[in-house]
Amino acid sequence: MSRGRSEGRRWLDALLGNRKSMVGLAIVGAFVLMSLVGPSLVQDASAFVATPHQPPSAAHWFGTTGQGQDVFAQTVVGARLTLAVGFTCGFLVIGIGSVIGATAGYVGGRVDEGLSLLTNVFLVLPGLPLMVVVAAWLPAGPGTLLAVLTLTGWAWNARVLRAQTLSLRGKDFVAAAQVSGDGPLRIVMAEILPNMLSLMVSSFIGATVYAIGAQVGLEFLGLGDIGAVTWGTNLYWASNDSALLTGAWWTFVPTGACIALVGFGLTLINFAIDEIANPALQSETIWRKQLSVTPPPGAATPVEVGLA
Amino acid sequence: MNAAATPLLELRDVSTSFRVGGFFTPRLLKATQEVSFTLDRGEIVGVVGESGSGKSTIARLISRLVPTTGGAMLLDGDDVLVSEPRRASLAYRRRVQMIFQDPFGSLNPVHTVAHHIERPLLLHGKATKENARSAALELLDDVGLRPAEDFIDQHPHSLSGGQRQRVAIARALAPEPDIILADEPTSMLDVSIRMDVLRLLDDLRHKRGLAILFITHDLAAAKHLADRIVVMYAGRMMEEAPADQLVKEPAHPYSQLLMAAVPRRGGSLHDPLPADPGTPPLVDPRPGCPFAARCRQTVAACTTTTPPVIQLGPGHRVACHLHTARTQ
Ligand SMILES: Nc1ncnc2c1ncn2[C@@H]1O[C@H](COP(=O)(O)OP(=O)(O)OP(=O)(O)O)[C@@H](O)[C@H]1O
Ligand SMILES: [Mg+2]
Repeated sequence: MSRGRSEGRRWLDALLGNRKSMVGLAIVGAFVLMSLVGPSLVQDASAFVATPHQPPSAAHWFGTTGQGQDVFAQTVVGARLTLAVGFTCGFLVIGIGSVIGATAGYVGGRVDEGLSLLTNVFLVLPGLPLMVVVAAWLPAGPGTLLAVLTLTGWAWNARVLRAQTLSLRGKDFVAAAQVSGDGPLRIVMAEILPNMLSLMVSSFIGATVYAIGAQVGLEFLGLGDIGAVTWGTNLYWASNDSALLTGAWWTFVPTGACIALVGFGLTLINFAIDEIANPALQSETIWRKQLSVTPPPGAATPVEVGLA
Repeated sequence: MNAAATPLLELRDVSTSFRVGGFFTPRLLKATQEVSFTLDRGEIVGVVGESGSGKSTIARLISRLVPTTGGAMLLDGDDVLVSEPRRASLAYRRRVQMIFQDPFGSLNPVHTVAHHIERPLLLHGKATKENARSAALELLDDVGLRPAEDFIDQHPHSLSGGQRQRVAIARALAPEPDIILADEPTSMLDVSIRMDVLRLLDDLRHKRGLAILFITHDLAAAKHLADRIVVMYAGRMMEEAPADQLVKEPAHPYSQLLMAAVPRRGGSLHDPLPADPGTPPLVDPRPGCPFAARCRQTVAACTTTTPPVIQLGPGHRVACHLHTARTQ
């Protein structure tokens, strides 16, 4: 009820009050918006529209590709699948990671041993070769990319969240919830997970950055569906059409810049979350804000708030 | 009191071991061994002992946070270790509540005071969603957090230690329990507010007829608050006696050492005691009395056999060969 919301609101306020997160949210938000509405505004990204390898002009803002397609349209349209796969993979990784990590950390014993073994096996599997082999083996497409990226990405999160669960499980407030009569599921969901919220959000963002990067890499190697328009296939075609040899920089720079910008925006948000969750990193502005909040009656001194 | 009546809670030779050591060298740490005592309605039983003597373990095994490895635990004559062996039933949870030592750790930092108190109210059917808030306000008022409206929406970090401990007490009271296990409820609080919290516990005992297990290393507090005192050493019960009697005429050499070493007022077992070679090993304990190494009055049996618990007088029991010899 109101308590979950108030915790969420505290975080939202903190994020909106942080310059880094504001810039990051603006960048990522702009790209998400572009990926949602952009494709219906630009011309057909796969159509042959003009002479191949034309530099940027008024008619084709970002020039044309080696196949005579509009680079601007390709950049805009490519955002949709790339971001969709990236964010979905982020959700899956964090979802699987928290279920396995929290279960292992909270239940302990044999369950923990089994799940930790599984996690460690996936951690020591060499990620890149595994990705390449599985992606080549399954039919090319976004579903395959999603499966491959999730398969190779979840274990690290499971491990981090297990460690965090383990340390929270030993806290007295967990024992107190047990004494109150709460069951294990309720304790994990209502008492432990809310304490890992910042870790989970930053893990989600980290996983998304990883998913976008790895996905672009796989597609660049030709392991994606080369018929689809994504940022990865844009780069694949640029390289295939010898963009570097012919000096057609406009065929890969826009896509590359977009990938870098999204990664930069997500990383900024992650920095901000770290700052908010860890007061020692907090920049001056946030401190000033916290200190100017009038303490409730009988409250501890702000010094103690900082230590708590 | 009717001696034949079933006590509210009775521990009979309850033991708890923890598995310690590596995977290939598992060993058992015997945190409590054969602890027996009773707790009745409206009664406060104090448990005193040095650090590591197993006091918290007793509270945790009664609250079923740690499993027992032997003995019987009877609530109203029903052995709960038999009737609900794996985990405590909700009915048991309702009746047995606990207050933790550290009020900074026992409240969840992400939740408000309201959450902490409304949750047990709802869980045990003591309130509905509609009146949970007013019931919580009433409880806060009962534990002296007034005006309750000012506290109910706070997060723990904006409360002082004493205020947090009162919230923890309100949470424990929410299910209307019969028993409260208070594990050093004042040791982390400022000296100036300890007395207030102790007075609150005493009030609750009188007003609600609660049975309280009061664990402390503060002998003066135990004497002040408790009706009976159990003295623990290295996981074993050394002596149990009515509070006055234990203070005036301690029978066990360890109790005598405690009483002699502690100044009359505000004494604490955290101050070093004379002739302390450290706690005897709890892993592979030596045979005999655990206190033998520190005792000045040992007899031959002390290092070979564990002294049985014998009755010295009404409500006065001791585990010591000196008394075993005398009564036989
Ligand atoms: N979960 C556990 N696993 C292993 N050993 C434990 C565990 N809990 C307690 N112990 C050990 O059991 C012994 C008794 O501990 P306990 O916490 O009951 O002592 P205590 O009398 O409460 O001491 P203190 O005054 O320091 O709180 C100690 O040696 C402790 O290290
Ligand atoms: Mg303790």
